[in-house]
Amino acid sequence: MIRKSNFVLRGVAGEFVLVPLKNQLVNLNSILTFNESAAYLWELLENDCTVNELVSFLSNKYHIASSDAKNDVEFFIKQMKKLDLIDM
Amino acid sequence: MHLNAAKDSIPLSGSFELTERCNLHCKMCYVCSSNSSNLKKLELCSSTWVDIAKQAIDQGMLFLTLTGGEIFYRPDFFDIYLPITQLGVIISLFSNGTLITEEIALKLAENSPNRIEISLYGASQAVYESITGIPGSYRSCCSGIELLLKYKLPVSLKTTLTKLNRHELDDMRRMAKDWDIPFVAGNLVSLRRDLQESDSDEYRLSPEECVNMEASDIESFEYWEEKIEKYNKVIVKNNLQVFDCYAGKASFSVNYQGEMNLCTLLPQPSISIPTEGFDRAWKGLKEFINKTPSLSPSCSACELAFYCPKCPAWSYTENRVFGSPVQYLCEIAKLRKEIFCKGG
Repeated sequence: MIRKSNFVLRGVAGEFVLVPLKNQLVNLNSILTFNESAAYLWELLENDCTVNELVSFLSNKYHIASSDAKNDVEFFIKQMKKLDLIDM
Repeated sequence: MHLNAAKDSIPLSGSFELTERCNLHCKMCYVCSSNSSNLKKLELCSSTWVDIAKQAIDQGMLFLTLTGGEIFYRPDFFDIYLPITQLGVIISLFSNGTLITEEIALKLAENSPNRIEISLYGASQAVYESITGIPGSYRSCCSGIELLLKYKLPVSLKTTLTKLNRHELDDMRRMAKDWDIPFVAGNLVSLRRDLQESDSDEYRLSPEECVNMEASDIESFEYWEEKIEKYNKVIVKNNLQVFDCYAGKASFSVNYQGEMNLCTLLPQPSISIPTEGFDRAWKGLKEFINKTPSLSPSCSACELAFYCPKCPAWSYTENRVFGSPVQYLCEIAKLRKEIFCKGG
């Protein structure tokens, strides 16, 4: 899977904010903010990644168990799909 | 987010006033004085605006309002707007709506901003045009709003209540309801920011009218009820700072010549971004507010401070002194306390 290209993730004032580039209305009724690990996953999705690859990267970066990382990745993907922010 | 930005001195929110010129001549306007070609010559070109936006974004700007004057009075508006939409900033547009054509609405729909706020001056042609002074402007405004809605753009309405349009408040609310868009009404009319003589204060509601209007509006009434409930639970110390807003801490404004100001209402300290660069201009703003003396003793000791809509720009335009009491606002504070704080 890969993230849609018409967004940019900005880190400002201690928060990560996803800003649409072309159409600021796209599926986002409010400003979308990410926590640090979601921001990391978003950056990884600049290139095509599988779920297992995301789990492995997340687990290594934050020194967490694969099962916890898998839960986080699955939750993140579910949200991104709902907002139509990634292509599978 | 603004609080964190202020703590770290990040210019999170900016207003770019692309032009001071406007096709309307509203009686209570605090900005426009003429539409002369001299004024046009002083305006920044589109590429300079885009460059300033890039510099501001590098420093942390996330929210940008494009305002005027009237933004669509500039034929090159899209030469500024479209490149900025690609920079990763959340954009709001302020307009009177009267110059919006099908072509403009379509272009906006292809690259939608986050928000478009249209100023509505009345609910009838007679009242609207008695304020704007331009025949046909009411129809043009309604047509502009309808075009934006046709292309599903995120429109909201706002008005400034004056002696000329206060009786149409409910009708304006109804218009917004029929269009199914948000509507807000403000009731404070400030003097001209360039300190030129104007009739603005003639059109102001009296302090009694302002507060009665707040009391009769359910949202405003609930706001004050909630605020007072919180106030009663804690000991609130008066803020002694003149600038107790985000101006110069997390927000800034840039005028049509590219000078950085504290806000659109307060054209100070006016540091040229094309000459100094964004970073130095932003630092200059911070230095300016740090050097501003504290509030006047009468304001800092005032027991009505909690109810007071005090603002450094108002003190300056009314008294030429920052942090000094503005009689009109003092009266509003007094009446607010009488009406909203039943216990006295």
